[in-house]
Amino acid sequence: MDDKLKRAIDRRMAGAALPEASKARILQAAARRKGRNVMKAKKKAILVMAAALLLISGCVGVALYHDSARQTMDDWEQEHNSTPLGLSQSFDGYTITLDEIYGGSRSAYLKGTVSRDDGKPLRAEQVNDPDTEPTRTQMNLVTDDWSMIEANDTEGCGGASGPHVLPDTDRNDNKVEFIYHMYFEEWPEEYTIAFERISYVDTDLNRMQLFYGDWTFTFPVEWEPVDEILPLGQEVTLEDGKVIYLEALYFEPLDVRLDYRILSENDRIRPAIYLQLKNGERLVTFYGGGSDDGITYHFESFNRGMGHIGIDDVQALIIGDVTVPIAE
Amino acid sequence: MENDRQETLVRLIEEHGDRLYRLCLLLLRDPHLAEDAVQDTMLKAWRGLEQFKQRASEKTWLTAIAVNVCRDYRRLYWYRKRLDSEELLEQLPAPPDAEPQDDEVLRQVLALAPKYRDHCADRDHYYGGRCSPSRPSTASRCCSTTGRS
Repeated sequence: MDDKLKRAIDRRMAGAALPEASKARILQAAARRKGRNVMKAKKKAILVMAAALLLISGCVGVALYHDSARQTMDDWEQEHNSTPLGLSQSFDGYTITLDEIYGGSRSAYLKGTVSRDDGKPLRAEQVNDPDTEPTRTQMNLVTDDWSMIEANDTEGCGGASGPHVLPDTDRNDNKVEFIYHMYFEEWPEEYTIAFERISYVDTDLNRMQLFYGDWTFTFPVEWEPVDEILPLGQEVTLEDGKVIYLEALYFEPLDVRLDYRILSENDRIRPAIYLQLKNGERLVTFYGGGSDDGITYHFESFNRGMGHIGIDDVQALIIGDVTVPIAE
Repeated sequence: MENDRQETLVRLIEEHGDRLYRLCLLLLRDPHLAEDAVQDTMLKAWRGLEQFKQRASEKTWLTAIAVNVCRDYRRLYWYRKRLDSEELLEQLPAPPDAEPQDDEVLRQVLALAPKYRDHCADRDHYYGGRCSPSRPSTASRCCSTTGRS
């Protein structure tokens, strides 16, 4: 290089310095997080293995996008009761509420809100591109996973989890609603979830808003699981020789989940997996997680606003080049 | 112990804050977003202090975090619609020793597609190493302003 170019950039940017207010904000945010950095190495490894993966969304022949995830929520709420929580935490001008929970045997879906304490409209950007994804609010709610592991004192939290912020139906109110998907192999007696960061693009200011804080909630796990479980218990061999053991399909409140293991030790690459519905639509996997001991895939009915998918809605499970019939 | 961690954070901000801010400005072209990115970078680094094995220099480590944070921001739907590098140039105070052509150089760098700007961040003055002859593609991209915008 071109030292000339380097020097030119350096010279021209030399006047840019991190503002003092910004430095103070960093220190304030750090002070709030004091004492929340304890982590056990073993648990960390498990969580890393369990990191959610965004998978295959642009495949040929996939299901059509529907209006919004609200459709699935409404569909589910008409037929099922949730467990009320009624929890609320305020921090630095923002309140997070956890209103109710839809509990399955492995997964649970928290329904809550994020609101501005000053009462001003919370206008986060809406993503609305029917060609690429269903309508949703672009807000990032980050949880402190390490603190959650510590608080829940369990190693069984592998799997996919994360927030989904629903489309904002009232742009003039001070809140947005979200669904937070959680997963446990075996639920603890009480569960702790710690939100540590809210970020969104404020469409009035046309800039990103970023808030670090501590919105920690603990609630008892008291729900009766509402999911339907379809045990599969079979091995399938794909054309490339890969052997997969299918454990079960879980028809959860808002999604469908497959648990399986890859038995071929020399080939751990995950195959493409779809759920063929009786109405002709094909569900792709939304996200997955797991380790060598087992893999979970979630099919994205919720994210596509397709309504609740039950056992009776499914024709077959398609794994690579193998079709496993589900319907009688 | 906690006081040590706090002192370390203060030191990191003082020693690396401005450099990281300039890097984030280069990658994001937005002063507000660059501030947020530095905050995210510092807090991630601070949180991961125990995991930092010093296999790389502190400078390299922080830069890598900052580049990843900026890449995350650029995935925002909102960000993808923003392209105004002129606005940044107007907001950026010109130091007295800046030369007349520096504006044009920076304008061209800012106009590069993000992946090429990332390569600019890969350079010696950000990572603490030198442009490696063994990585000619990187070197040529970061040293050229003729990439596609």
